[in-house]
Amino acid sequence: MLWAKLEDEYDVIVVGAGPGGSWAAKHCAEEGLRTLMIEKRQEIGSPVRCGEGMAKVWLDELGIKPNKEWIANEVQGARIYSPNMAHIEVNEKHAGNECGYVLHRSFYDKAMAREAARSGAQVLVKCMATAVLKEDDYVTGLKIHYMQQEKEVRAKVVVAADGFESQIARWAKMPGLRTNLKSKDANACFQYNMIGVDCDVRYNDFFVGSVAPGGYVWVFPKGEDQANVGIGVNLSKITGAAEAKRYLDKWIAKMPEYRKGKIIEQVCGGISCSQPVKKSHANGLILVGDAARMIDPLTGGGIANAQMSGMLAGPILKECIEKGDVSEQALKAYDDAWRAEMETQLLRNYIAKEKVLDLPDETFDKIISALSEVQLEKITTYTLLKALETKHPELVAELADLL
Amino acid sequence: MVAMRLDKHVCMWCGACVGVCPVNSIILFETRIEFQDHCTDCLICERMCPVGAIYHVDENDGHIQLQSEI
Repeated sequence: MLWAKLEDEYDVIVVGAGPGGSWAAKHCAEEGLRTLMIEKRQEIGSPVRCGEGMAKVWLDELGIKPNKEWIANEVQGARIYSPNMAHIEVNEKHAGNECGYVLHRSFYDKAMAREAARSGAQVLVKCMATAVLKEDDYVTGLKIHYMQQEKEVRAKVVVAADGFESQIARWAKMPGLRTNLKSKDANACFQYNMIGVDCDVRYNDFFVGSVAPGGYVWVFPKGEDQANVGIGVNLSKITGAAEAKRYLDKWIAKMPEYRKGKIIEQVCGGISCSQPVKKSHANGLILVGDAARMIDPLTGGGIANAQMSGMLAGPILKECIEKGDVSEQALKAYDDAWRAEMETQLLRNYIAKEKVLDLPDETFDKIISALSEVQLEKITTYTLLKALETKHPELVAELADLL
Repeated sequence: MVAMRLDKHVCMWCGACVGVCPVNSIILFETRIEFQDHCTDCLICERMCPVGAIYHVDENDGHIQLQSEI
């Protein structure tokens, strides 16, 4: 009887068994904390809600060994296409470890959850949190629903790793904890996995401009004739129903190399393209990953950030729980820790996303055409703007605050 | 007054509507979306749904969905 083994109280309950939740659970368990991770789905990692591109950066720091089981393809670079189909190439030489893998997310998430379980965390699937328990302004646990049973389970700290939905933070109603999104800070995404397409396995391709207002179309090859062909469209640009899918269908119809593909999977989801939350901690509660709006607002990448925040939480929660202080003041150490790792990049890319949001196609064409004519040693915001300066000084003036 | 509805044959259970609901009035139970009572009829969820599974009904129970120009 699985339920019989469920304790009435844990040190830590992690809500959500995505990469961020699993990495939080693993690192809490490794610190010796009694850890429970709950996942509302019956199968971890499925259905996939992801384009499956992931940079290699931080894999070492996160302690993740690349494994054939969850790597569909390793790319050597990315190509960014303007509306007039000029393109620039960003490869490892330019961008270090920013390039990387196309994942099998359903296997990836299971691999991460396995590590959490092997480190000693208890894992419960098909288990939904239905309410946040609070006492004296502290989050003290969760009401959880598992099969026929509902049960209150106490925790010294609840780790909300509940992804884009970010519901735990909002149910908790703790002071200063806000995870609501403005329209311009969310993207609606839709993707096909297609067989029989002409893709180039060496590159992840991105198509920007009015083909995907405020976002981009992506082609991430998973094999010689197989790719994730997807789109993100900014919610502020959407006026009617099903527009993420409509924009993608319209784009594919114009592309002979993808039009002939056969669809074997459909994926959809929402992502944030906001600044990270102003506060990711409260008495007895922390937020990790997408739930804390840690997705890179320009690239849409969120896996590494989620796992980094989960990993950082382990030792900090251990110290707070050991000292018997899980107050907001004590847990601020967690907030400080993840910000030190990623906040500068997230804020810079938020400014960049704001710039790109309303950029007309002609400007994309100008920028990408100009950059395609120069050889850049290393791609940074600075070198990009430098390269633009000679040909389009007026654009550089407009983009200058990115520096 | 409108009320939100879901075409469960179209819904892909992704939770995109949940994450953008300004009053947190939508819950996704694995494969089942539920609209709660404190909905403010802002229709953000209907625009956000990547596949058009969300629509609304007016007081005469007329089925309405935001039209797309795309």
